[in-house]
Amino acid sequence: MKILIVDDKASIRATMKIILVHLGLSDITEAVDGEDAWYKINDEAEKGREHMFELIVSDMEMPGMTGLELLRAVRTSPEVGKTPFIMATTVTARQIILETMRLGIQAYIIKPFDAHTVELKLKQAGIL
Amino acid sequence: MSNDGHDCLDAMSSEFIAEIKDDLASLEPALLAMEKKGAGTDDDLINHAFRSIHSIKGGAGFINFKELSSLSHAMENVLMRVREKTLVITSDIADALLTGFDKMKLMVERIGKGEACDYEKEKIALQNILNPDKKALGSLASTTQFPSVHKDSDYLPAEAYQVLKPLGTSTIFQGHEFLVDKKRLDHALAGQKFIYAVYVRFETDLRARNKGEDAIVDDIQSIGDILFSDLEESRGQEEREGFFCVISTILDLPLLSQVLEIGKTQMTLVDRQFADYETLVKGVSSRVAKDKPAPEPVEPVPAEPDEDSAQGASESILSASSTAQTLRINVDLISRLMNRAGELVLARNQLRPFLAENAKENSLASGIMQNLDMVTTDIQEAIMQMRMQPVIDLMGKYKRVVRDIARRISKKVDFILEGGDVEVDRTVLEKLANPLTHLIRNCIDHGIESPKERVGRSKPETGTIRIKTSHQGGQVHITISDDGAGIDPQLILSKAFEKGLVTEDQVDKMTQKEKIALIFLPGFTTSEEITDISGRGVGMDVVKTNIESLRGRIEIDTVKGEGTRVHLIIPLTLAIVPSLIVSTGAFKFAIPQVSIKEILYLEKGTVQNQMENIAGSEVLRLRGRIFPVIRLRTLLGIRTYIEATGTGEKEEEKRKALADRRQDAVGQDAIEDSKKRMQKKDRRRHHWDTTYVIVLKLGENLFGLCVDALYDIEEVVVEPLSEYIRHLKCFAGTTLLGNGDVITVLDIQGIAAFSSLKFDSIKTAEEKRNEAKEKEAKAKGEKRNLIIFCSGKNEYFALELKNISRLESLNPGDIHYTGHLKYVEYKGHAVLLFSMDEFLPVNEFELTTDEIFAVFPKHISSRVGIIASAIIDTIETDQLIDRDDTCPEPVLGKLFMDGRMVQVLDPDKFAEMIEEKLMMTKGAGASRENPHS
Amino acid sequence: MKPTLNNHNFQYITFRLARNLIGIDILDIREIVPCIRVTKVHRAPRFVMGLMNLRGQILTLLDIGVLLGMEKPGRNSGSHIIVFKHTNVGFAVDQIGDVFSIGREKIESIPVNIDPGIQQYTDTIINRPEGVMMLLNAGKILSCVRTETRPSKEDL
Repeated sequence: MKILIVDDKASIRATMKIILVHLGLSDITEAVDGEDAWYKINDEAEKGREHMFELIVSDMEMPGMTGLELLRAVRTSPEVGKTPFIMATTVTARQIILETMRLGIQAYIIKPFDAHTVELKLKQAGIL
Repeated sequence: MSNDGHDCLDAMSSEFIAEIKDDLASLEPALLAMEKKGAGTDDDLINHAFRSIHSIKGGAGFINFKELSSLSHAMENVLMRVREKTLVITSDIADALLTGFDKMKLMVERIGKGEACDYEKEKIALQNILNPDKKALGSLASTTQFPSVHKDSDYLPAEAYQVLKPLGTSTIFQGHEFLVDKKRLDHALAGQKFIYAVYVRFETDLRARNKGEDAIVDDIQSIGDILFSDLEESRGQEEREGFFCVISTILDLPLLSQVLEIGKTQMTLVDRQFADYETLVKGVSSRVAKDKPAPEPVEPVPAEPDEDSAQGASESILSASSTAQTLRINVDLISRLMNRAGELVLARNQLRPFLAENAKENSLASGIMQNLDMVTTDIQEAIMQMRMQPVIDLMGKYKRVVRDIARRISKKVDFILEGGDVEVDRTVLEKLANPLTHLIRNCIDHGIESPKERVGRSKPETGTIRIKTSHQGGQVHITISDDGAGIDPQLILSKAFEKGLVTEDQVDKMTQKEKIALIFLPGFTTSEEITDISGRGVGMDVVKTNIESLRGRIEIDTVKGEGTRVHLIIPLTLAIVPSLIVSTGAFKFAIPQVSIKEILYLEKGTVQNQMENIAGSEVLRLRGRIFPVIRLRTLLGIRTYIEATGTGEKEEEKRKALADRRQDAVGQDAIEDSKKRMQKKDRRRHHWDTTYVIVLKLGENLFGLCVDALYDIEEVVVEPLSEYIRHLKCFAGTTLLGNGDVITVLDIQGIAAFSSLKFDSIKTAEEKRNEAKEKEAKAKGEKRNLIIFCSGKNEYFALELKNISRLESLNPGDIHYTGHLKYVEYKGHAVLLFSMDEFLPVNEFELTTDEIFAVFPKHISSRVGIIASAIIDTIETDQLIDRDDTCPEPVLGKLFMDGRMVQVLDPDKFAEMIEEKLMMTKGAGASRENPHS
Repeated sequence: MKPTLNNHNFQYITFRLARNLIGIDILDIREIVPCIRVTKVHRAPRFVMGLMNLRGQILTLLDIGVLLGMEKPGRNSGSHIIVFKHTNVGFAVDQIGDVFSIGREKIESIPVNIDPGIQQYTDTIINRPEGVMMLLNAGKILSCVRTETRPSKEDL
């Protein structure tokens, strides 16, 4: 399972990575913000279907392109539009949650998360 | 396995704290800027602040730091409103945000110390911003009205439906069961969705929020599926206050509550017979469980060490391309690395002779050496670079300090920072914090006037404090300037006088700058009343001491009514100190170059002549200034073992202590070295009783240190003294020379203290002596040794012999002309020559004779001479020198000698004139060059 | 006599100081290095022999002979430096002996009639065929700056 973790905080990326690796998901790429992620998603997609990310775990609040914008970009893309997407954020503003839900996400993880939560959410998202 | 996950999180908490600190650091300037810009704040800034607080909240949650999490949440709420443009930051709001910020900072500082922070006050202040009407909404008890018991109809076929029981103890759902479509339920369960029962109140949840029933249904449908709803049934039934629904969603309960804007008490998970169901519940409640004192996992975790996955973890972490450009490194580690780099340099130096030896036979060796040199130097530089920190890290904090103080005392101040990217060693930066704070406080408290006063003086209402930092030649210059009231030297003077810090006599002789410098005296303060900001009487002297302990210096410029400028000059780093290596007897020492004002060479025979004894100290007279001199030999109790050459030395050596003997070996090298140097560069011969006097600066005072020989200036890495010798005042530390020798670094301040130098008593004694001399001279006429020389044909001048360093005879052909400037070559240097007509209204000097002379006065740069057509005589006379109004400035007076009128020059004024002349030629040179460039 | 690597045994290294045989626990020692150029520290206490460069680290050398009151300052002309563990502090000795290993029970406390100056830095002895050997207490030696009150000759 090829996973992209998007967060501007190195510590969060590392935490998520540790958890995912513990859950047996070790093919992990990191992106530091929405734009970085968007480039990486498309770069991989260009290499062919088998290179595409199979899950995106993204933060919401990031400098530049936010997680919501990234989600919107992903969902409106014909190539990668169906990639499972998990939000991992502290944002609890209802408009944003509603919007992400409308765009379609597989899980909404509230930071702080722990291994249990992530495991559960990945199960919910059908990843595990 | 999940346990491992938790451990990893714990291990990372320091990383989180570090990031929280970073975010805090970036939050403060953003808040301050937002306050300043008010409604005009740009989105970037707001977003930046919002992101910072948001990250803090996130990080706090991760390390389970509830206090911080809660407070940052309150701050976030306020900033959210700002971001939505429904709130503009006023000073009051900024106050609440900033005090909240302070508390957060305190919390972070106290983290792990087990002290709880009370943050209710700050939190309420923040909440009050959002709810100005309702004060202190602590925990809002929900005004629950129990819904009338709702009975489910049980007429539906059991196969197609499943009964769901709400979990939990909420009275809202007590006794309720819901029948839901089994197919849809199974679908939701297959997706591991949460199934919630929700009670929606018509009044508070919908009407009060201007929300229609459709809207809530819409919302629910965007986040999940509605499995059951009794909305239709409840419609129109007046006794019903709300409706129930069962929904499936991936959202956690708190989020659901947030999205639907329905209280958490009105929703609950529902029971069902599903294997994974327990997991789901546990997942949600796991954090709650963690927060409790004994957070043991509920179910026993299989303790199988999962080798494979652990390995996979480390591998993937290692292989993943890191996107980070910066890395946090422990300072101790850097220090260790730096020490090791020092060792590397040393090893390289030791290796060098071997490689040089080999280079003759093997051409590879020199290449290896070069490579090693380059790499070593590069490593050393890189490590030094690692210790560097931009000054903004410190200066940025003052924005807040300025704002707070200004607000407290109702002054308006703009704070401008320039050159924040200048980098200095972190230890220097740390030590700058206190003095800078003090200086800035002074600026606001004493410098900037109240807005009213400022307007009265037709200045802008808002004062400006500006800190400018720049690099200049290996040093950092920091200028703190304000456009405030300036310092009144008269006021300083009267204060200092009042406090008995100066005497009336002293005051008369003081220059403007010296008067201002009085504020550096211990116990000086001018504030009429003691404010809580400054004026406690401990101030500038502490600032000065602090700056000097950094081997820096401080200067003040001020114009009354216009402002003050404080200039700090500090070294880039404390670790590497350019030092002069000197020796006395067989021992070498390092003297920090910054303390050295100049170096004098006293030849055999002249040592005694030039040293005097005043007030019990040996003193030296230099250009009219007198200062105490310490002999390093006496200071350190160094006995001389090596008297000359010959066999006596060896015999003596046998009796000597091991340490001394070994040191002698070093000393021998040193002396050999020194001799070579003397032969090569120095025209003077070396005698054991000749001496070098290193003139050292100690604040405003000077003192001399006699040493035997000088070596190079080396960049030494100063290491602290071990505890066994730390109490020795004379040493600042130890260091290794390039050749591997250990030497001590002299502590200038310590030496002065150790020798109990009494600068003041020497000064007063000297003053008295001078007065007496003057009186005597006036009464009798003083004996003077004069040298009389002729300029032009028959104009005669005299200078006292002691003011002349040497006389040279020249051939007019040796003179080189550049424009109107005349030069001669002297020992490979160009020496500038002036003739008397360039200073005095006398006849022009004409080169008529075959031989001319150059007189080199002391007290000025050795590269200047005066042309004389002849040296007439040296005389000793006590003849009174007549001074009349016709005497031009540098002429002390006239006297008659063998029928010639001789104008006696005033050495000090003449020297001044020459210096001026030098300046002018420099200036002229510069201005001539300009048109070309 | 080969040292055994038995942890229950006490291992010590011996050296001579003014005709006395002295031992020190090898666990207190970081390393033993040849004595090279020693820099005297002027006005330092009597028991400070000087400074030495050990691979770029500056060692402070104590004069153990002075500390134990067995020698006058400057008498000790050691060929090797014993460096204490975890420190940059060492002392010079003339002849390094072998490493010996004995049972801990063989260590005895120092007889009370021994010079109090010596007792300040040693509290145990080992009876050896050639005579009594004092065992240095490294901790006490390292903290000598706090116990040593005899003024330096230089200060007088």
